[in-house]
Amino acid sequence: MLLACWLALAGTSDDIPRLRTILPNGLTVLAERMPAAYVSAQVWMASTPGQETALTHGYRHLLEHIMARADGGRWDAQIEAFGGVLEAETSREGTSFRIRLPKSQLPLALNCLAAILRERSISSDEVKREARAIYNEAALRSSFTKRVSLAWTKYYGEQGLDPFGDPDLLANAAPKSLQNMWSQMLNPGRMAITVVGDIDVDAVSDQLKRKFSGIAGGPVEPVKPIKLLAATGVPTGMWVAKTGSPVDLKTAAVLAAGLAIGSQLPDSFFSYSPLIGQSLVIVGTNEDGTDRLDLDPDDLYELGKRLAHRWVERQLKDPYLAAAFRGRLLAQSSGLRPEILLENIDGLSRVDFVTAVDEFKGSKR
Amino acid sequence: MISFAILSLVASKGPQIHELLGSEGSGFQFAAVIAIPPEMDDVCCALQEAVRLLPDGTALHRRRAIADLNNGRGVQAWTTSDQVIIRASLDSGSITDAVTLAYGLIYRPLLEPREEAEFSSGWYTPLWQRLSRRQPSESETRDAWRYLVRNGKIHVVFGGPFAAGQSVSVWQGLMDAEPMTIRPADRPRPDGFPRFPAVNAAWLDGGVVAPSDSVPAAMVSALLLGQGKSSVLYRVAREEMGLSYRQEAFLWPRPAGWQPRIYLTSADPIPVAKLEQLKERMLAEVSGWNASDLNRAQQMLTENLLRNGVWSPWVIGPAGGTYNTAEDRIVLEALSQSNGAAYDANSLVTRAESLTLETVQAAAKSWLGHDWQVITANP
Repeated sequence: MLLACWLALAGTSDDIPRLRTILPNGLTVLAERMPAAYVSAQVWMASTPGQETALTHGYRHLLEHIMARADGGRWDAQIEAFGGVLEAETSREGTSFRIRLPKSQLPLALNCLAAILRERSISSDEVKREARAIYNEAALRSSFTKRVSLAWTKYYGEQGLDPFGDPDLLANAAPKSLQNMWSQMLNPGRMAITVVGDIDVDAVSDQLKRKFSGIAGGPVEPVKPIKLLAATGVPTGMWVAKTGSPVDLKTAAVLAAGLAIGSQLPDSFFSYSPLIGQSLVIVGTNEDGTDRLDLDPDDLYELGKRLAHRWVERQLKDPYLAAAFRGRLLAQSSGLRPEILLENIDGLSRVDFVTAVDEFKGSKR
Repeated sequence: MISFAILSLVASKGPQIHELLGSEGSGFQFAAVIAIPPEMDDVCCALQEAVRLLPDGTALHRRRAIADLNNGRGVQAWTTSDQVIIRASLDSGSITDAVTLAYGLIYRPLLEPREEAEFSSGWYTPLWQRLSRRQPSESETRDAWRYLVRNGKIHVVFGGPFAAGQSVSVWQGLMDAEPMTIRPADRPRPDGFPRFPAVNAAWLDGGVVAPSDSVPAAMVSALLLGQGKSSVLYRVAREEMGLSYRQEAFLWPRPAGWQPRIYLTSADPIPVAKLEQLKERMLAEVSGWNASDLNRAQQMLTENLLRNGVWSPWVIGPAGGTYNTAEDRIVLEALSQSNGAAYDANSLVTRAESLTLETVQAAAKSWLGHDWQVITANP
């Protein structure tokens, strides 16, 4: 049976035409109308099927490079001919392929996504070429990204491995092992396709259904919570707090606290991966030698709520950002809605906010 | 947002103030461009330190107060080759707050010393950071800023929903109430030791294109040479020769106009011989451009300047290229005004659409006629 539901809730300010459909193969597709000159179409594949280990560290990233070159990479040229772009990324939440194009070119975007998802054989030359690209990519990684990665491994050990991967390991990856990983990732029950722009949501939903119903479904294992280590030694200039699912009350408090702290730090950075299980919010500064956090949580409460509300709202008001934020949540669970996070932020109590600030401070002890 | 721009000279010793009046949202933005005088070319650490400390604000607007006004986005400040750029957007407050903050940042910044910064690594780092391994003293930092502000040519642009002349009037009021008391400063002492970035890089700079020259031809050739996976650099430098992971061609702001720049980075040192080979291959590609290549670049430019496409023909700082947002447009306006002309996206697009293939090819070939510069990471 085809399940479809309007996510817009009567009686709230969220009256944007938006249709989420769960196809018979388990794939979640979402179409949302938003006034804009361009449209964004994205596919998200959650990281939970085919969890990486030390032996397959970075396979999803390598596969992302390989998949993005579907049909010899000809899609990039077609998309760029209209001033559009195809981007690919592997994060802790999953692997994504994200297209933005003038709205008249939506069929091109959907054809491109379908081509990317089509399994094909991988050659060892491809592996070498893309592993070499990742080796070069590693040299350009920002210092804050590397520090965030360090915090994750301190908190979660091997389950907190950086999805970027190990370039030396990737250079020797066997095509067959990568092929297996591809098959595991291509699990419609852990995938989402999102289209946001000035579109007819019913017509686009029908197109998505026709185009992507053929992806074979596989078993969908429940997401296992990752095991927390007794983390010590968070690097200088960084503070960490744990979150639950994006729709947990605690997550709202930690987000608000982290953003408020970041706004008071010089040259600050902020990192949050909205994972359905446990995750981390990491806030820090690129200044060396700073471990003090001299601030009054009470004084930051209103600011923190405002910053968190604005951050989530910003993710929902632009076609590209909205397709990405909803896609990364829906691929993990078809019931995850950012509006719940927004409601939790708006209802955040002062006590919960102060507790979250204290957790950040406590991460240095 | 842009309704019209006016140019007003505040005072004989003051900066040039420009206004962009409009109503895209209810916020106010400003951008300031300060030219770095040539005699400060070898003053890296003190100037870089001042720019790093600038977002701490002023006595009136400290970091916390700025966060309240602009939802935590703060003030951004960075250097290009020979300009300092300051930018901020306010979501609440008034044009008076925006002018007071800009005035304070330029003439009365806190510049209170803090811990030494870790230099960030990343794609654009070698371009915008003035690299030095020496930590300057507090007085050196203050003197460098004083010297810059006193000697540099300054252009400030204010944008937002306010009445024509309002920002100029507030600025004039601040000058009258607290006349600038900047004492002459000696030329700051040079650094001596450069600091090298963590990434190997190579670039090739073409001649600076003045606003009166064919900036659109330079923009279109930049997009064809080095923006996107269809570009010559991606296909040849990365795919064919395996020389780099990231490679771009773009226009880079200079006081006299826009400098065409090809830029690539690699985990390994880049051999000069291979770069010469790359140049030969690129010249051959340029000769083979056709009408569909030209059309692609024109489309990319239109999407970027008039809508919100990602392919920017220029790089203006550590964040890279620009989008068609109020925050980016105001920096482009400040940079354009410092070059003596207003920023007019519609005119640039119209002129780009009338370019011939031969004109664009000639611009690219002229650019590629220059020599490579190579820097090696941590030698």
